[in-house]
Amino acid sequence: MSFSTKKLVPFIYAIPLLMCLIALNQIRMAKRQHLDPWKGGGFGMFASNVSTGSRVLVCIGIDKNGQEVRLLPEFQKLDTEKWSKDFEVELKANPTLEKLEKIANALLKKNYLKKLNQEKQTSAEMLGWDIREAIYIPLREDNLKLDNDVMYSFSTVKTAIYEIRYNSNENTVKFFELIKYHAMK
Amino acid sequence: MNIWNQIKELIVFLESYQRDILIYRLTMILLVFYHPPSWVGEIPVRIAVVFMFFSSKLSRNRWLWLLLFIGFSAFSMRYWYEIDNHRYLINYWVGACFISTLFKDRIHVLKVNAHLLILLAFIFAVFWKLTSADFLNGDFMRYSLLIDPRMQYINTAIIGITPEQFLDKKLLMKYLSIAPNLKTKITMDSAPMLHTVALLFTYITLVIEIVILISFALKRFPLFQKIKDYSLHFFVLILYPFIPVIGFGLILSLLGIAQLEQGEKKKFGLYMLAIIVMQLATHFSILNLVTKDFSI
Repeated sequence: MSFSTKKLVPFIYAIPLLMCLIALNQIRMAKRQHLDPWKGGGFGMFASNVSTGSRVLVCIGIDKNGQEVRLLPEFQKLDTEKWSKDFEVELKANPTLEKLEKIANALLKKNYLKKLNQEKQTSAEMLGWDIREAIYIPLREDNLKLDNDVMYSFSTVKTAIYEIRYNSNENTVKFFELIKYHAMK
Repeated sequence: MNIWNQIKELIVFLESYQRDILIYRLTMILLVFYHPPSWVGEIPVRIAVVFMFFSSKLSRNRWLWLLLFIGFSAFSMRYWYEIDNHRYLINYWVGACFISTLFKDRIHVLKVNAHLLILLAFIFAVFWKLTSADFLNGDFMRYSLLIDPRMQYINTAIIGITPEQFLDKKLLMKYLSIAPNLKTKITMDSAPMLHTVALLFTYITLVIEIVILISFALKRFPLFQKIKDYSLHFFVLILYPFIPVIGFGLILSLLGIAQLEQGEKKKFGLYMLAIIVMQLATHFSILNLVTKDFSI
């Protein structure tokens, strides 16, 4: 069975119409929220320096004394929440407060062991931690630890997306805080 | 008979081939190379390709096209924030192929959709370039010339920033990304020609895209009817052999063929040439030739 072109003319335009709707929604999300202009079907490629690759996730724990420490942004290892395997890509492409809140709350719930980054080629080293710099390792849900290990917890956890910005007047690049969330106990 | 005549004969044969079947099969070739990297897109392609290449009737089969459209759309919906724009365009085109199979005049439906998809892609691409905060002032191109590895050889050849300088900055950028903070600033390399070259590239890109947009939008006027395809050929053949975004080049060439009138042999031949050039550019783009050796 085939339809006569004359009878169902509007149906011929269904796909271009769908393309318009998706692209307009992408433009709305990229201009008003923080969607990566290159992604989402709005054809914003090769038009802006803003992209998923220019964004990083930053996680900072703040203890009762107000001291700030960098936390490993390996939130997918946290067993208190379920994470889709591409949660981080989605977060960077389309960062929202809800996603940052989910990570911050998961980090806040945890107790941590403080250890020195002793070995080379650890994930901490690859993520920028120096050798002998303190790293805070989240304990599993059962809080399993050795007797002489000291547990740490944080009263506030800050999660943020930093974005690299190019300043052509100064010919420099530096990070800019795009969006952040504070979770407090 | 020399090879040139044989190629000409092949182009004439393909150009006069049943246009809808040719378009469906060229689309299948594209899908074999550029299906979604997941079973949901791959399995429909594996099934459909066998039927469509052995039977003309089955290449028009609406259920096979519907299966492909569902598979591609499921992947696009799941990874909407991750996939590139040409994957969206391929997905739309698969949808258009499906819709065309519902009509008697399939060639007309394919033609209308191909024309509109090209037009819309360039409307949105130009919109983004005109409204982006860092395109018209040349900042996007300038930063790309400094950081994007695909632009490094252009940078070295025209601007004079050495590969070593380029690598140094890439490393600094990497260190900044793995220890992100709001205080550190990296000063980029500069050269007298950098800003001029960046502005030149910016406006060449913009002008070509605007010419394509206007000529496809006003195709009823004889002048634009004449130049619309040549402007798209120019865009595909100039841009993609240098910066090989092969999927985009292929889908644009295919859409170009699908919106042609029967008998436009020269334009048809140039789109076919673009498809062949895209295949070569998968391994032998200018970028590959200047940045890699020929070892297998």
